[in-house]
Amino acid sequence: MNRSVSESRGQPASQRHASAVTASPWPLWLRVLLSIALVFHFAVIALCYASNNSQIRSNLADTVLQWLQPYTIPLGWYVELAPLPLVSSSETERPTRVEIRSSQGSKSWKPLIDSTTASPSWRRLMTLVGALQSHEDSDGMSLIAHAISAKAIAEGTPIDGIRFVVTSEAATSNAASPGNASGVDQVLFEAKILSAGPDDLTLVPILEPTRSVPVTPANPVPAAASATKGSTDAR
Amino acid sequence: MHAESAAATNDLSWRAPLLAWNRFWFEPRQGWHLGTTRIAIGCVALLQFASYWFWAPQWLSAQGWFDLETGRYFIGEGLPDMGSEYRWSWLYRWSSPAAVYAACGLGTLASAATLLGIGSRVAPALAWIAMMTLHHRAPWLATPSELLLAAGLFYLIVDTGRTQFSIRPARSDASSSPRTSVTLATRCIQVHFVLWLTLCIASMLQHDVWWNGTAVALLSERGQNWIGAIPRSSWFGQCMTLAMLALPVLALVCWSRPASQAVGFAAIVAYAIAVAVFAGDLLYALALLALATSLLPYSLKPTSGPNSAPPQTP
Repeated sequence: MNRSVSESRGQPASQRHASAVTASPWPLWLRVLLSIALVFHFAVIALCYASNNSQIRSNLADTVLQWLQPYTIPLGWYVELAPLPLVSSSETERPTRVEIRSSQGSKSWKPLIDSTTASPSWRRLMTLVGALQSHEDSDGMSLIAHAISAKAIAEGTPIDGIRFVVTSEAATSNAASPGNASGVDQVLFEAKILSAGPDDLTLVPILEPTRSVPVTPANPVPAAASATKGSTDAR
Repeated sequence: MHAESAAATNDLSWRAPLLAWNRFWFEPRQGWHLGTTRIAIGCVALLQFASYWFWAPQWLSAQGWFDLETGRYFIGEGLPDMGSEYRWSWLYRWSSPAAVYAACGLGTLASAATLLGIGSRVAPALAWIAMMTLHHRAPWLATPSELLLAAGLFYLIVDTGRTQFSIRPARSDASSSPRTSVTLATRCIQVHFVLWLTLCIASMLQHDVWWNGTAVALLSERGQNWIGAIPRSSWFGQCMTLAMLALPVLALVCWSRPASQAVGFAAIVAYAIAVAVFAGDLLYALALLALATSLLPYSLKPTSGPNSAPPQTP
């Protein structure tokens, strides 16, 4: 993008000025307007890319991005969690599996998707699951689990339960043991599936076993725990 | 005499940034400057849409892996300040597999037309619309290649360079005459790509794995590379991690110096190869190369003078 200083060698300075200013056939007012638009545009692009990871951006950046939504979103400049660093040590990128249980009462779970062997789309979806977990958004995880279950049932796979399991990064970070995947599994989300078919599916998320508050009529189950298909008001 | 030259120098120093800005953005260029980039972006966009044929209908239709209700939830539909009203994908209205295939088909045809130089600005515009249609349906699943290619196609709407497949200039071809819009489109792609690389480096440096040399090993553990598991403590993995960090920096530094612009392009080629091999993302690697063609040395040189001649074949 640098210009060679010798491009107009041999010309008087005044001629160089004149040729540079009048080089474009576009009128001055148009160039001025375009210049302002270009500065605005690339400042917005820089802000969007710099704010790619919503977990660490400032409140000011958040506010400005919100003002700029009518420009950034329709044109596709605004993105979230785009994998610009290719790989990171953040919690959202831990190896994650989708596991299913095929029969009532069965205790064995079998993997449906493993992010370490799946396509980039599955890896992106599992990154999204990791982000939801860090934001404690069980509704979002319920919806993803519901969509996966419905698709799997429609393709002929019997499902009674579904869960997202992440392999703890701390356990896999032993530098002396290369490429090991034998970490500690942590269940991010688990749900029981009540199904009469792919179009009539209900997910009942399993609450964590450490829950100590008893469920009574005076203390109902939270909305997230009973999230079912179509319950948009739970958001 | 001295007073006149001093005044001229003062005038020059005051106006120099404005003149440089004017030359950078608005000095007319011949279409072949952009032809190579248009062909490269069209080719990679064609591959991207070819990949969509195997992915999008399975994922983005009403009963797909990322079904309609999930899509609406994640754009924040119905919630204030989420900007969901600006998501204009037709796949929210028509979500059958046929509608998804239609977006893929439109994008494939438009990308091929962009590659071949058919349809002038309409071709990249349609390819961009098709790509954005799929993007707005599932923005959380956007890949780096999609984001880069969408930007490239968007800027090609300003000008597509030569209107033919060949990148060599023909004296009788009117489209090879200098145009300001060619400069504008080329510069937009260049600046966008430089911004992208800069923010990628900044993003990489936020994470420990790029500092302690384990990033490439981590990629291999997550099954993303093409050469199997790499021990975290190995010299190879650590050297490759540092190389992947240094190559884009080297490219940016070299592009800022006229004498080393070819080295800058070579550095980005090496980085793209590393992305393909270690991150296993071939489309992203190709998209990097496609946009990097806008920074080939001849695109950075003046439009007039002996260095402005296009590459000639014998």
